[in-house]
Amino acid sequence: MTTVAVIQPYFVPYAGYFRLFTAADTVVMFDCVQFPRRGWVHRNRFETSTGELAWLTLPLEKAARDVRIADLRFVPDARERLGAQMHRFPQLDRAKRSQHPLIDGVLHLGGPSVSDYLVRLIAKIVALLGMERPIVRSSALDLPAELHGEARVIAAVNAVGGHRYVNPSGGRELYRQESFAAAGLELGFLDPYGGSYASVLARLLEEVPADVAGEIRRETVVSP
Amino acid sequence: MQGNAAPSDRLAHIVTDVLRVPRDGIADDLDMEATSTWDSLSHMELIAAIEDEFGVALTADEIVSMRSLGAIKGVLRAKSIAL
Repeated sequence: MTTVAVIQPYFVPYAGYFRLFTAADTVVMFDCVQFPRRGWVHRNRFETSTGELAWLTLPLEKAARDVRIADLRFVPDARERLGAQMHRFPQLDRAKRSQHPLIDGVLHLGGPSVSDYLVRLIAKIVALLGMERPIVRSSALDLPAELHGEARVIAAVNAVGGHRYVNPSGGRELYRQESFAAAGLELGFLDPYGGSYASVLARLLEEVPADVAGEIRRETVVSP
Repeated sequence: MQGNAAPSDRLAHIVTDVLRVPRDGIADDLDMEATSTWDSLSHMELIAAIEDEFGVALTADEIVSMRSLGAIKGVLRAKSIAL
């Protein structure tokens, strides 16, 4: 029984995001959809020297409003710009100066593709948390363009050989048991999350990874 | 959204858009526990949209406390947003 989760790639997201890596055997990064400009794909918030939270934002090339996450590109000097932004955030600045491996990972863009970068960075974090899972980009699955919403998710789960789909609790309104059953799939949902919303990067710079991973595992309960 | 609309309309637009609830289903007692579409991921979407729309920076404690529409309004009013 292979359990699959499907979620958009986020930039160093909050710990609750990683519950899907605990709940699933394979995680599909849903990068074949429109880039949500107001979301968390390309940015996260960290504490400034005045104690306020402010955005650390990936420097992206200008793109059409309907650009897919998979097609986002970095500006040519993105690494320098991202590094310069870190000076605003004492925690990140300190870690950068001490060449903390996680910050090195954040600054290692590895090429122009933002989606490649996000998946690589998420894989690095889940390895640190001891939650390694196969990660597949949905843009690599060649899902039919005419499929949207629930049908597109079902196609993604089938494409990676899944038998069960697990989703955060908010999906209860979006996904129907009967649709998944008709496709031969079980459907489960995470129970509501009660943990911290701070970026996992901020957490892992201060806390023992095993402690953060333990909290994530305790917060991971799947119900039908 | 439209910057010249009333703050309450701008907030209602965000809530209906992110939580996929009908506009007439919005009241101050709309809360995270009783709203099936309001999970941690959509909570983060709400936070980002509210910060962008109103140009405010929310603290970690405020984010945790904003578990109902009434609580969200309370936090924004404390930041001098006229709701």
